[in-house]
Amino acid sequence: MQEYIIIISSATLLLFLLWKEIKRVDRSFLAIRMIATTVAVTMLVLLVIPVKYDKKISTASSNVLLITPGAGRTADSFSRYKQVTTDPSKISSAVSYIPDLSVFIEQHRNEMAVLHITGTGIEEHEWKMLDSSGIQTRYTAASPRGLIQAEWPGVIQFGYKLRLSGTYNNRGEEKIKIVLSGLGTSLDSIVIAADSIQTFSLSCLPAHTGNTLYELQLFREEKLVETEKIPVIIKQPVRPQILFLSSSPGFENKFLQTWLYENNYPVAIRNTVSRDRSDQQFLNMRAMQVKNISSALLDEFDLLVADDNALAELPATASADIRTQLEKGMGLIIQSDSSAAISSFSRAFAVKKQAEQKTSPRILVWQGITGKSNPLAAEQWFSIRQDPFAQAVVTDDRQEVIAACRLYGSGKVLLNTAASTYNWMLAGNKENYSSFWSLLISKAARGAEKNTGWRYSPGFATVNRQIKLELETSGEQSPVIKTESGELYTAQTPYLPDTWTANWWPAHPGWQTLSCTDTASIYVFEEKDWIAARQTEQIKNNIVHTGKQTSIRRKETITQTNSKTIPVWPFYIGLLAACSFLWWESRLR
Amino acid sequence: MPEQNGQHIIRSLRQRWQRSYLLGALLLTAAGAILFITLLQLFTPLSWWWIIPVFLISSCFIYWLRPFRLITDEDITSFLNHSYPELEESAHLLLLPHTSLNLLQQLQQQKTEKKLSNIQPPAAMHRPLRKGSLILITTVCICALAIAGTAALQNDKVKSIKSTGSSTGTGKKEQLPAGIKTFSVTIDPPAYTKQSRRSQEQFSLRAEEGSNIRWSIRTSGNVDSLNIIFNNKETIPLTRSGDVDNEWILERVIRESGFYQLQLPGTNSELYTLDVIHDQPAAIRILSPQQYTTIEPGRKAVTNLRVHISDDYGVNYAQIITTRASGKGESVSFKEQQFGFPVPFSGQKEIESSKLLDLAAMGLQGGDELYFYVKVIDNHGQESRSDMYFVSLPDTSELLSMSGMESGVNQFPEYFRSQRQIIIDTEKLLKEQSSVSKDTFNARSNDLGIEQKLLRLRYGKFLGEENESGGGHSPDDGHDHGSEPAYGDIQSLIDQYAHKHDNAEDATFFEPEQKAQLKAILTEMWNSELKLRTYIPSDALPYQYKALRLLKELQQKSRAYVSKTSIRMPPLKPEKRLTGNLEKIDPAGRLSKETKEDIQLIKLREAMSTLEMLKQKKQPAISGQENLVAAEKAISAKAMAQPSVYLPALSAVRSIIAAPASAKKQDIMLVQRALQSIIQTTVELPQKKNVLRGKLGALYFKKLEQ
Repeated sequence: MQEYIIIISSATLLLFLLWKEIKRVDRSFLAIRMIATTVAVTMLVLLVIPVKYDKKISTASSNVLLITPGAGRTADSFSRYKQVTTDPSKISSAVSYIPDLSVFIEQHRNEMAVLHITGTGIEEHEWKMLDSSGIQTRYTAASPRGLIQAEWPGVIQFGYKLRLSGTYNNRGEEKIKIVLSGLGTSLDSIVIAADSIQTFSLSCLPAHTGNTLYELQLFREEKLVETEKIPVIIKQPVRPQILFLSSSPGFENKFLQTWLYENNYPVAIRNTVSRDRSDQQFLNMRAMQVKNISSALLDEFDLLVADDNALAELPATASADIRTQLEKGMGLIIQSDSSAAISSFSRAFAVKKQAEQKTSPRILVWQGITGKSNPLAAEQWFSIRQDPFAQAVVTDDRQEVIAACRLYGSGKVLLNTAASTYNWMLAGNKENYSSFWSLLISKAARGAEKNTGWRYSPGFATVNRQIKLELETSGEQSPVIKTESGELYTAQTPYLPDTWTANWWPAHPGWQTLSCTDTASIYVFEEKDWIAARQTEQIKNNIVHTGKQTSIRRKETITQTNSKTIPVWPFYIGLLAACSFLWWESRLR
Repeated sequence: MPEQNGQHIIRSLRQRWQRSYLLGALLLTAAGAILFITLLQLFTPLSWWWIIPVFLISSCFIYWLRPFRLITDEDITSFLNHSYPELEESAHLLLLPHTSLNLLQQLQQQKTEKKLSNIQPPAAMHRPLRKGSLILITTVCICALAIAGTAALQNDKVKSIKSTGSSTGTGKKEQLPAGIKTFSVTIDPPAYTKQSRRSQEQFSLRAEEGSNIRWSIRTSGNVDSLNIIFNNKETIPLTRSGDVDNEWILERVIRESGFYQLQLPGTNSELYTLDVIHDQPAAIRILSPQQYTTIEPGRKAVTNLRVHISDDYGVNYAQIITTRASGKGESVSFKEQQFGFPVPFSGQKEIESSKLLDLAAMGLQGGDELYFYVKVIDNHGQESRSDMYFVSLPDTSELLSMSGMESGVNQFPEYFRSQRQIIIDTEKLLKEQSSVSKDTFNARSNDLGIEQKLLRLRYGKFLGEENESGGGHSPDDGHDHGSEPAYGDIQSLIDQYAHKHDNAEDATFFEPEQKAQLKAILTEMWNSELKLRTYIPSDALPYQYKALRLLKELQQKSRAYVSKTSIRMPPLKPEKRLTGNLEKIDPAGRLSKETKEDIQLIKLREAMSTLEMLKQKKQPAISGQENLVAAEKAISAKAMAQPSVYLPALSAVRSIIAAPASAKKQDIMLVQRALQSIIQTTVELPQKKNVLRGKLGALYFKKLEQ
């Protein structure tokens, strides 16, 4: 409004002045004087009213580079972008520090088109914010060095091997020796070659029970350079009760029974010695009547080990009872030594003789076998036909299936055709024998029922970081989890009525006990533990997030118009020049 | 030639000057090179030979850098003019040609020349040389000092590492238990060790088996009693010494390893090891003969026994025990004899001795065998024996006997061409050697050689070797194939010319072992033939015997004899057979095997986790304390057998039990390591897997079945 008044009054002034110039008697320089007057008035107006013009901001200024910890040297192509960092150690003249990324995004969400992130990336809650802001992200992942990945079971049972696998990124010139040690003893080790990324696997057989903190010790030239913690809970053994039914006495069963007896497993044996006569034995358990197989009797046992003949000889009622128990979760191991399926239980498996002139000892392969498996001699080798419903449990060195397992209700039926595993025992090879039978028995035996299951994420529970707890329990009421620093209230997961979740911020490192309907131990790591592995996890997370984002195309650039004021000094000069001319012209007379 | 003389002087001066500079520069570079290599050597190990290339390179560099080669005669003259006023600034005149000078100049030149020949060479000329050699000597001295210094430093370091390493061992100053002022332990090793009595100021002992150990301990105050507890079981009081106040003494002979501690009123000391060094029995190594030796007939019946005996404290006595077995069948007789060694034994730690066993003198004949072993007694009275060794003399009469061969043979002359016959003939020839002429002897020897060859060829056929006389039947074959072929029978006509039964294919149906032996026989026959044909039948004899023996062995190989044994069976009860009556047989039941050891093992397993909790500074449950006590018991039992391994863990577990809350991490690790080695297992065991049975899962399962 103000501008209009000025313009109108100036226009009036201009008209007046022009009129005065035309009216002047001396008409010399008339045209020039009129131009000078016009110029002078225009300049005066321009002096009073600032002249603005719109300018489009270049796209480069809407790119921001965020340097996070672990980032390497910034690429040259980034140098024209605005550079910010969340890592105080990366501050320089070109890189400014932002204490909080969320605040920065909030402030600059309109002028930022693309956020380039380098280094280990940003955290989950920051991604949430970024996703909602509409800013496009690009991510250049760092490659952390050291133990970048590791995996091991948090809970194992006594008698099982602890198997740990991981990846080491060795960018150094020296070899790295990784030693799995625990309880003051070195248990297993491996050497990582210089300048390589290598996956490794270490194992040990714990001889004790309870919460244990194993360690991975890293040695560079015999010098301990790093130690990482491996928390493992070793549960007390839960031994299955086993019932043996055999149609004739044999070495195989005798050895297996002796081995089970020596390791304190409760075993009942019914051995047919002649027609309608059977011999009974009870090891590590009180005697009971096993002459007639009934559902009530089988209820006591977790596993039935029987040869095919013995199963075939059972009366129909007993077979039906076994089927009922199998449905309920009992296991059945059928020892077969012929290709003909005699009983109805083994009919599901198709067994054939392996054609061979002279049987030779073979190396058997099964999951979790460590060390070398010694060849096993047998009179005849059989193979079980592969089928989609049977899981191959043990194979031989020709990839023929020696033992296979099928589901039956909630129980399992396992067919084993290796009929002379006692040869291992005779050869003094206790390791292979126990590993083989541990696998078979554990696989088939009825599980120990548990009412509460615990899960938590992320895998590396770290102090002062949020942990998402998932509790699976069939209770009606919302469970409350007791921690050392107070109670946690849980929320039910939609669609999964048995699953309850809670967020937990552990305050102390070390073993933490959580209790609800039962208790669970969780090891909380310190901030300095497993840095490389946690960084790798974060990098993966960031890559996933960036991948999700790029699938939605968004505007690449923001064309922002910026009004700029033209500086006033040219107008001064114009005014001065015009006025000077007019003054000089008036002086001529 | 005056001007030439002057020029000559100046030139020689210039050359000397340049030489001096060059030498000086070379000395300097040498010094530099030595210094450079020495400095490098301080950081990385480097050969001293590197000095030479460095010196050469820097010399070239210096030669290019320092332009003393550019010194001209003019420079010399101007220098001379400056330094010698008597030359009257006219030295340069000497360089000018005589003809170009005016009279005055010529006069001056002559005058200068005279003076020049009289002046002393300038001292400045030798300065670079002096400087160079001085610097070189200084550098060498400094370098030598530096190397000696670093070597001494490194030695110190090694020493300090060594001393820290051994500080855990005997070098440690013993921490005296409270209440004890001084003590000494005197170890008196038994006589067999030949070691003198020694005493030490350490409680941890390492003594020879049977040592008498005397503890003498002075307490700082007056105490009522002082005991030593051995292996945590046996408490033995020390006796008060009569001579000195507050001195207690105990003497004891130690035979087994273990540990002990001092018991003062109110307190117990820490645990000390008691390691016993057991006397090892003497080691005997027989270097010759082989364990199984056969002396071929024809060779001298002697064997040289060489033996090496070693013992940790000394050998007292050694003996060879021989047994002669003679006769055969049921009339085998044994005779034992003992021999000493020719060297005296007086407690040497290592002896090598030999003894010639003359079998003939011991009465061994063909077919007899000698068994022997070496028995050694060390000075502790421990006896050790070597393995049994066998020497056999084959029986020649047996070989030469015709048993089993007398009958059933078509007596064709060729069959007499046997190895036995050849031996008899050879022996006969040797006997008659003196009575026949040399030519006859040689001819007969050669004939025998031919016989040997024919025999060899006969056996060679068995191995598929080809007859030198070619295929086809010959009248020499010694046999024919029956009747003449019938007219028109082509096959039999062919057979007549093809020596069919000597087919190489058929001849080789032998076991590989038999073939090998046949080959060995043929080799012996070859050797025999060689000797016979070179007219040395006496040398051929051993080969012939060996061939014969091997042939006999081959003959006997396929025969085996199993003697008849008698058994007595209990009388059968026909009424009970095959009835399957098992009523009187009770089911075999073995109730819980869970023994004391198993229960203890469970406790030890749990003790591990108790220790883990202590490591985390958490208070273990009451059962944890029990587990620790069980652990202490187990470690203590182990410590008795291996005190040096388990004793530190034992004292650690005791300190943990005493104050669990303030247990040191190091102690815990020590105990865990000991427990780990006690309970370690290599056997995987089957377990019940945990199965989560939720309502939702059950519902899902039910729906699946529908």
